[in-house]
Amino acid sequence: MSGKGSFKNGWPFEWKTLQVYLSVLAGFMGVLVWVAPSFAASIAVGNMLMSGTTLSLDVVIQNDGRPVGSAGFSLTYPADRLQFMGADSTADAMNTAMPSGASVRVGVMSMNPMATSLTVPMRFRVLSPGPYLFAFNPSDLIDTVQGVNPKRAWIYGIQDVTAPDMWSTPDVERGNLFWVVPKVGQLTGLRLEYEGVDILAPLLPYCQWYYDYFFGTAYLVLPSIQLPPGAYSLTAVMEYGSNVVRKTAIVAVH
Amino acid sequence: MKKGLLFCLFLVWACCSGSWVWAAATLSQLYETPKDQVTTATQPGYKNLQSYVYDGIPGVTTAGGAELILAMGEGGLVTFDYDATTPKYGIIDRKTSITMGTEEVPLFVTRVVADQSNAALGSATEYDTVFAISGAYLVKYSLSTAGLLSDPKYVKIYDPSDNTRQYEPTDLAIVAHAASGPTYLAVSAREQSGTGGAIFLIAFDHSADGFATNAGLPAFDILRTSFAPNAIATVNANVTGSGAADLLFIVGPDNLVIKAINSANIGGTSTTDAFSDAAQSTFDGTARDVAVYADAAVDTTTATEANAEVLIFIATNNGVYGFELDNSGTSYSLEDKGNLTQGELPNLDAYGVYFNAAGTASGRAGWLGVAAGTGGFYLLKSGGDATASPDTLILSYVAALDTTGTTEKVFGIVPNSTNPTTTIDHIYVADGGGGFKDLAGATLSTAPEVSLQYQWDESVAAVATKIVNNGTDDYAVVLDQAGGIKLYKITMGTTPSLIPQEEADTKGGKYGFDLAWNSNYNKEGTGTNLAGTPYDLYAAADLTTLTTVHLFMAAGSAGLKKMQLTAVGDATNFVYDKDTNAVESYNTPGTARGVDASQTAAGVFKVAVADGDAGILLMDYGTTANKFTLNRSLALQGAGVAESVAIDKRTSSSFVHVAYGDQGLLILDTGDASFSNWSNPSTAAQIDGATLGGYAKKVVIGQQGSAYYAYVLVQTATQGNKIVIVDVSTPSSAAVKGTYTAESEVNNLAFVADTTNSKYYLVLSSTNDTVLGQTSRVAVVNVSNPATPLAGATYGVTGQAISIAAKYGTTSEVVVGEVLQIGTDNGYKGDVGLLKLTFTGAQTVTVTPSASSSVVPLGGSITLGASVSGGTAPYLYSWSVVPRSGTDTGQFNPDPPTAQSVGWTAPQVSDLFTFTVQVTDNDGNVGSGSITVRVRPTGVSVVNRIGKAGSTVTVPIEISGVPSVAIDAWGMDVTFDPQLLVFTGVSTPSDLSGWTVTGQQVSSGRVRIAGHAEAIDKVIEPGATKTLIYLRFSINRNAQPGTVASVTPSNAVDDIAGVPLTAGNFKLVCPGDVDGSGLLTPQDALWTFYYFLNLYSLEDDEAKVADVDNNGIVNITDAVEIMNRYVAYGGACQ
Repeated sequence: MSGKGSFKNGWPFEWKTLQVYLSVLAGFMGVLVWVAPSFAASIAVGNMLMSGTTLSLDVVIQNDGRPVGSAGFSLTYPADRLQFMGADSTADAMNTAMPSGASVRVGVMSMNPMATSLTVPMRFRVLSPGPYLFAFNPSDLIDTVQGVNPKRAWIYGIQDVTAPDMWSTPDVERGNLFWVVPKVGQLTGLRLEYEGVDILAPLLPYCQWYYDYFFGTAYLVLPSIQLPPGAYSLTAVMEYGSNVVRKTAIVAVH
Repeated sequence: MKKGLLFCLFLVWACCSGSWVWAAATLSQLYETPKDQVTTATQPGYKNLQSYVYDGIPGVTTAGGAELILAMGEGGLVTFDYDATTPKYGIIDRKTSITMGTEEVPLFVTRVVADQSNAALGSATEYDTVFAISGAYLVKYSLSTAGLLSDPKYVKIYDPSDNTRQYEPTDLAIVAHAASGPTYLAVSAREQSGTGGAIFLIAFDHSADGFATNAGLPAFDILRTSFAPNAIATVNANVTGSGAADLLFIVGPDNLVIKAINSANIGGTSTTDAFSDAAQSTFDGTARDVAVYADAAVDTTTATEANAEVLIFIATNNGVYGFELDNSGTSYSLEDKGNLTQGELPNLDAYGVYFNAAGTASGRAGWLGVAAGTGGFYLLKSGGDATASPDTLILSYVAALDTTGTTEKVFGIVPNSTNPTTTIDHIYVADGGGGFKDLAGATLSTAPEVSLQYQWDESVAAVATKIVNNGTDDYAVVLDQAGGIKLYKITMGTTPSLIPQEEADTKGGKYGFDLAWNSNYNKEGTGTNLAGTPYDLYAAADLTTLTTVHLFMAAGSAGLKKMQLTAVGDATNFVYDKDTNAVESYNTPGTARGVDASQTAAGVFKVAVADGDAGILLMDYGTTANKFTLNRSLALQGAGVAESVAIDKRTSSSFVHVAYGDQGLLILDTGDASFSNWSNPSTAAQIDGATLGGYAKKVVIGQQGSAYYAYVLVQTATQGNKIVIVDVSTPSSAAVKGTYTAESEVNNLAFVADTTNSKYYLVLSSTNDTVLGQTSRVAVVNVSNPATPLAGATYGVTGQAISIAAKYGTTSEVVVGEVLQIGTDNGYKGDVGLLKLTFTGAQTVTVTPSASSSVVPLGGSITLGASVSGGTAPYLYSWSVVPRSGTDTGQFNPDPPTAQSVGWTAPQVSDLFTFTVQVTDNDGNVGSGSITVRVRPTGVSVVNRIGKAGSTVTVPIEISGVPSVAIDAWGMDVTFDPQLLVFTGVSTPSDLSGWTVTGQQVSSGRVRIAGHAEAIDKVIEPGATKTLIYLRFSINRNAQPGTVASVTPSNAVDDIAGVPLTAGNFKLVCPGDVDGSGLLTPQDALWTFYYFLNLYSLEDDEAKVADVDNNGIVNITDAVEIMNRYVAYGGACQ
């Protein structure tokens, strides 16, 4: 899915002839339909808890009632706000992790040949206020979870989101983006501009995002995809009627 | 999927294979209360005659104390002990049928009056005769001092001179009773065909113990009316000054007619001369009842006038109208006082009225009790000025009370003897399906309050059912559609039995606990703690005091209610009592349809409410002294009706699941096990209605081992109802697991876990289906494998099963709530059923697969079979295959492979294939077995190998499936890439003993090899599969991973001349790339680790690759190193 080269409008992204979403606004406003295949592995984030300055979460891997065996994944997180502290092994799983930039790669090996679900407890130290977003890079999912599309991102601290926010963490050979949009019900326009061109629609298939109904907030993560070195300035334009909010983030790839 | 882990899909449902598997859990021994009730007439629900209380007579004094007489519809005519002095509340006697000729005709009693024929009995209320209306008949019973009914007599209400008219009696009154003479009775009746009616007067001769007759026919005097007379009342008063007269007040639609009755003329040759005109008038409304009060002080406009006046109160659908019967000279004069409730209670729909003057002669400070049907009970105070000209009459609202039943009639008001204007000791109310109720009025002049103090209700329509345990016994708590809360004790023995309704204590006492026990109903028709509409129930024993049962009810428009039962199981102290039982109410913004709770400390709860189109409420109860606190109110944007809710509390997390109608299943993340995010939940997931396939109506959560499932009752548009099972083990990735469609009329469900045997079931209640020809029933579904729910036993019930609860135990039980009036919001009849649920234990299913051949040529076919022992037939079969190295899985026949014996065609690649067959028996026990089959090219072939730079590799050359020749000598050349491999020698395979093999490099990259048998008995048989020789190579240490070189046989001679020759590949891989995928992945580490544990076999070349530290041993260190390299380099070879 990753690749180098120039995008039509200069965005250094290999253009794929993918199905175009109807409209980003409709995508954010529509119902998130989690249509999982009847029999498929899954990977998800759960049990997010804050205790003091430690944010913990579990990554849960399941294989539809069959033994998991082994799995590998990378989890993208805002490394400017969180410091990865470690991934613990459990009675059923030996977990090995190594952070790099804004993501941590984890290998999971089942200690129990019959285990149909494996958990990777992960810990982060809070460096600065949230919210904190997480997403898997589908291209890094390997072994049992290869081919699984998580189809969503996760967030901790959504109740504290009152204003739009977008930022990126510098990385090596990879770029990331974190974007939070509150009050989606009041949006009248939404764009993500690179050098004046709206790239949101073509970028969206490479992102993981989610819309929380009760908080009316949507959030998006570009999960550490390979990019050529450079500093890419992206501007999110969020129109709430006559009130237009702009947020700019530099996607810095070394 | 990369090579290694590729599985076939399992069968989803047995119907696809054309066979059914049935779970072995059984249902038996149904007992239904009160249908199977004992034959003792004094027991509640005798012969399933569920009472609807229409009328009554209070304060009947007998030698045994005070009694009530109740008209209970099909429940019959009842004498009821209600003596507060020596309480033994309960039925003394009951008559449910009467002998007419040779027939025993059921009674349906709607009105009752009582009389005293023997003046020597003492007080006026020491009645000895009871008259009642039952159907078309007027019946009489003698009443003993012990409260027993006997000597029945009857007369049909009809016009002997005109048999063409059939009448339906509506009311009954005593006109007069002369000392030692007959009792004169009046019966109002409407025509069954027509808009008119008639009043029938008849005498009952006590000496003859019979109704008066004339020439063998009933001696009626009859007054025909142009309207249907709905109610009558009588009073004896001297209004005109011409002497006291028996006055009859008749009301019907828009009409009030008053007649003076000459009792002496009742019967005789004239059938009309007992009536004489008094007065009449009209009003706007349909009258249902009338109450009268006569006294000379009613009107004292003329101070010296000694005549009496009669206050008349008429209950209509438009409120209460008032009249006053006065005189004008020696004639009657009727004064219209107008609609007395229109101002304060414009929407009052009055069914019944009862007046008590509270000791005030003018009647201007009395109490008027109004029965308002589903609107409850109203207490009004009369007022006005008896001295004014004209005198005035007013009614003022005092207090009101809502009930769960239908308030039909007020049949008694007993003010306190000391403080009659501020306190009412008893207000007797016939509450229809809610039984009879005794209310009390307190502080009526300052802070008016009317409250329930007693309820007796034998009928039940269970809309929600739960099972609780008080530490000793199980109890069924039932939410009765018309009566509130009922409690039943469950006795599950070898043979379960009827579950009797629990009464308050050994004194005999209350049956039931009305939802509006503590209602405060204001004049606008709103208020607090109203009865509402019963939808759902949560019940749980207190964590500390198990005999206290906490209850939360979702009561529709009345919101959320909290009650508790105390001393449950203590026959002496158990009560239904509003003061003890801490009734609390919360008015939700929507329609409370579902409720669930989690008790976090004794008496402290997290409460979730499905509040209809207002969404979901997350509340606390008990953190502040038995009060509700709203933490969060949530609603989906757009349409959606929150129907049902389930709290899912786990070891370290918590969730709330909501069946949200056409919005599907919504899952909220409420934080850790202490509900840390109860005030700020986030959305975990939503499975929309389209994915579920319909409208999500109910949700129940079940834990199956370490997994969690949501069982959602979904209503489809055209295919009935179904259960959709959603895996919510990780709610943020919730997904539909399976569906059960075999109970299209399912309306409710309960989850029960056989934790001993790790089996899990749903118990369903279903209504009848005339199209399917099935009656209402309970059904069991085995959901141990959620992907394949298995149909289990079913059991028909008498009513319409609409609620259910189940519990696993030594003797597992199912309690089912049935209604007999399906689709009726205020239906009051039903049954509470108890079934025995028997589970079979876990059984071991042993599966032994077989293959027609262990070696298959490329594209060849074999037959696979499974031998099964253990478990119980019939069985379900499901085959799957995993290739060792590649991705091609071949082809099953049939496909999907769900038969005991299946065929399989190999792909055109060499590989090792592992076949697994999973067998499920008829109770969901699962067994499996595996067998490995090798696919090899026919002829001589070089086996594919991998290796790492600087290491060595051994390459086997095999022969397989050549049927035409036995081999005792062979020779060939083998070419290879000399830049990659250096030939170091040959060796003899261990399974080829008695052979000599040789090999020599003849040129760069070419070796010549040969072998011969040393003895005649060592030849290779035709068609056999054997390894002919091993070629040993060292691998160039500078070669790059990913390099692939061919090892090619040629120039075959001797016994293998002309045999097909197939080359193999040698692939140089990264150290640790055990599966040869080209990447280091956790799977490589896993294979290495499992090989170390002897759980997995590696070929010798794979094992060498796994030995990343080159110490000659494959162990955990190698596995860890492989994993470390994966996370460090993302799989790339470094």
